[in-house]
Amino acid sequence: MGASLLPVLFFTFLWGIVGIVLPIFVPKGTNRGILQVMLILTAFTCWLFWLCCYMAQMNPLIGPKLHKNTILMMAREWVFIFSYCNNTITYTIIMNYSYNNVFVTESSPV
Amino acid sequence: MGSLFRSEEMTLCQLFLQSEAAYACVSELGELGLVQFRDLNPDVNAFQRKFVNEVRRCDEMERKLRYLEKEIKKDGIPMLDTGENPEAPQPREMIDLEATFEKLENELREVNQNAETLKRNFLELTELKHILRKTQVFFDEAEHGGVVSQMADPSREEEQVTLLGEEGLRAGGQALKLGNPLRQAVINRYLHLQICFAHFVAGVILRERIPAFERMLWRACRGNVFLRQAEIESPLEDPSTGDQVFKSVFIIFFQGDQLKTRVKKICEGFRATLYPCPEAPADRREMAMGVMTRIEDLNTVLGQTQDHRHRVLVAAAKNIKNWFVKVRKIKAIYHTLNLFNLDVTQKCLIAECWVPVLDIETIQLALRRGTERSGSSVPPILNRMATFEDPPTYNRTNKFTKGFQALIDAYGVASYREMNPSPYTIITFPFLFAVMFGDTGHGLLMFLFGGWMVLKEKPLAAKKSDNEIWNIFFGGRYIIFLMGLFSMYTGLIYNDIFSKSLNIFGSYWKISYNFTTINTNKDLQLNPSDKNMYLQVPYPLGMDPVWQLAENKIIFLNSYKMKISIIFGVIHMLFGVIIGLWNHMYFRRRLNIIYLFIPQIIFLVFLFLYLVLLMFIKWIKYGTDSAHGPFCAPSVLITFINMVLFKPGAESVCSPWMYAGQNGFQSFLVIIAVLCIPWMLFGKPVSMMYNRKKQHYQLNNHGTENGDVEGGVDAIQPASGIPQGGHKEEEEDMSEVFIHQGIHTIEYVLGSVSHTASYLRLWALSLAHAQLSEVLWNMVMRSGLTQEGWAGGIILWAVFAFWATLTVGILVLMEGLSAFLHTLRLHWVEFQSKFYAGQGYGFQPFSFEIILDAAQSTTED
Repeated sequence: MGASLLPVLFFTFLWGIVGIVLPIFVPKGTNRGILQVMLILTAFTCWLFWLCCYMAQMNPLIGPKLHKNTILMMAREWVFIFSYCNNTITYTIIMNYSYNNVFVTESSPV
Repeated sequence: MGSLFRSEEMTLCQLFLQSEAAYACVSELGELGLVQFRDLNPDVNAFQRKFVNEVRRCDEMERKLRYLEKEIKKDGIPMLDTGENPEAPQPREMIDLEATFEKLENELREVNQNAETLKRNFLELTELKHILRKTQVFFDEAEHGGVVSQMADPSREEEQVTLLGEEGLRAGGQALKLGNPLRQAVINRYLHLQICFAHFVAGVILRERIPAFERMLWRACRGNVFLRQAEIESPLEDPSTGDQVFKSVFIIFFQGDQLKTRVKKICEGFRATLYPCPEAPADRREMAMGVMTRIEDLNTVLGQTQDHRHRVLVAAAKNIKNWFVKVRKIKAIYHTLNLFNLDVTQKCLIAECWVPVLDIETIQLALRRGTERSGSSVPPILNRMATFEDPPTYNRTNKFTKGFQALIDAYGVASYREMNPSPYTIITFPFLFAVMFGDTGHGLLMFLFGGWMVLKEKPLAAKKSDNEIWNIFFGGRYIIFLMGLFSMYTGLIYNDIFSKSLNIFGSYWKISYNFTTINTNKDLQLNPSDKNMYLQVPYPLGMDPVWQLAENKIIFLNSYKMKISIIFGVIHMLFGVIIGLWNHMYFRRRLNIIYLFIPQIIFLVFLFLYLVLLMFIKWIKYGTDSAHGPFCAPSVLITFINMVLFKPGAESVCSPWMYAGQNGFQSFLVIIAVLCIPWMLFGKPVSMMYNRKKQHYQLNNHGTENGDVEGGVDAIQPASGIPQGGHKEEEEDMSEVFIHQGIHTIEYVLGSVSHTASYLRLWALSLAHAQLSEVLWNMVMRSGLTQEGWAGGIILWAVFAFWATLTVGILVLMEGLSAFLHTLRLHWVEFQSKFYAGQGYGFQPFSFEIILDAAQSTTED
């Protein structure tokens, strides 16, 4: 539920540098205006595009519907699985666990 | 800002040139390429102009040069293109040039003529040689009666049969299938004929004419002639066309003078050349010897002639490009001088030209250089003139901005000093393209192609290909480069790379089902409100990779992509309207700001930007575990429709409102937006009418207040005269303003709705692109990847080739073209209709560079 501060700040800062700081340092010349417009527009469009994608996922109304094979493969292949506890993100490597788990259960008849 | 945001400021200038300095000055201006001359005698026929003779002489020189060039190309001599740009020569040098070309042309023509005569001789002699050689065989056979003895020889039999004229018999329809006895009979007959036929003619004929020739002879002479023919193995050169042709030698036996004339007529008709062939073997031998020696003599002479021709052409090839440039420059100068006026004293030429204000200094410098070069003492005069005409539109572009400016100019050249959309297009064009073409893989291919063209710019430009498609790609190399770059970025956000995802940060959705649940259900939908399944914060960069694997991916992506299409569309249109404000401010159209810009922006913001706002509210406020209850999020579209129709949403378990007081606020927005329509429609014309009335009132009052009698009459006279005449005009004017304003308002109001909907093409094309690349992967690449063993490797190799071809051909080229066209439309229609008039005409400076390029491209065609 909601946004995490770090990525929002990071990307806003990144595109802010491109769109606000860099235009100040564009060398003087006939093309200064064009370059400034290009930088500002690039930063704005790219930032907004990222933001929209981020916000669209902030409060998902639906979850992904996955086929059981896909779920099994995800459990086996995506080794870094994030667990969410006590409002802090801890990275837990559960590779061995999930790998063995799926492997064993797959071979055993159920 | 002198660059690109608006076209250059132009001014009309009058130019006085001394007659003797005019040529040099115009030449300098041509090198500069910053002046557009106007035709001062448009009603004078092209043949009656002052320098028509000089132009004709240049045409003649050009013709000679083209002839030379053709000859050089025919001999395959490389033409030296040093790329140097010689200055236009002095007028007096023209005579030298003419003399040189005249001499060269005459020499070449003479050499060619000689060579042709020699070749014709050579051909005749060669043909004669062949005749003597081939007929020798025939005569030998006849004399020694060798035919019978040779009949047994199977290797000779073949030739024998053809020599016997079996073809002729067959053509005559007499012997369709000759059996052995019949053939024997024919041979016997032939022997008999040999003895009793006294006359014969020998000659050479084109090989393809032989069958018809035989048939004709047979029919015309009723079978009373006998034809023998043999092919000449080596091809002979036709001296008039230079083609290699195959010919055959023939000899015809017949009896009697009547037949002789007939045979000769037929030979003539078939363009066969007849040669005298002595009957006696000794004579023949002697003749053959003579022919051989003559051929040898001819060969040496011919070789010398060719050498000479080659020498002449090689010498010419060194200079021909240079000469072309010189002649074309002279021609262009005289052509320009023809546009000028002579003044009364005939001492001086008067020209009118459009000039960029910033470049007046450079032009004056160039004129001074020209004067110095011509040695004239009187300096040329450049006067600025006041004019009511619209100046041409001149955008100073560089190699980077040129392509983008071309996109804008293809729609319509900007009106003079109007806001130019191309600086903004440089980014918005590749960006909107990339929204539709969002795939990092395809973007990378495009980026690499564009990057290669940009890197290899100079060598590629020097090649000057005349392939039209390549030239289009090359002209748009920076556009392609930026489109590729932006596509890579949007692809990264869509998390789409050849329809696969990158899992950089690790998906934020995780599986926490136990194995039995997984195994018993065909598919499972993760619950976003469950903290064990979703981390409750979004994936930091773009789409979560899990969506690429999800079965309900399209539902999720559609809602997202539709929303961003509208968001970017509305912002793009708002941007266009705001650029319009700059136009109104620059041209000091105060009325347009009050009665056009303000209602326009209110209409757009209150209806469509509010729609965008609703989307953001929905994203922030509605989740599965929010206070509003799960799955209670109202549809943005329905809310918007209800808002415009003043309909309260259906009240059920969930509230249709997103915030308190939404209903009242929305009604307020709609009412204000609707009020903007009459504001736009009547505001400007009514205020114009009001202003005019006020002016009239002041004028009339002013006239009567004047105490002076005479002055009063003078003042009243025009005041009473002009308004009466002008009144009708004014009324017409007003109705025109009303109509124009009406059209404009309707266009804007309806346009806002349809243009907003039109931006949905961003979603549609992006969806189509993603689906197409996914289908291609699943149908093609996947079948290759699932093969196992060493055979699988080979299959994968073939499948990959197929997949790669389709990816480049369909997904990058065709989809790219389609996305490009849609982007072009979004810019031309949806964006530019908000502010761009595009009713100017382009600046066409007198420039040698442009003229030479145009001349070169036409000759290459």
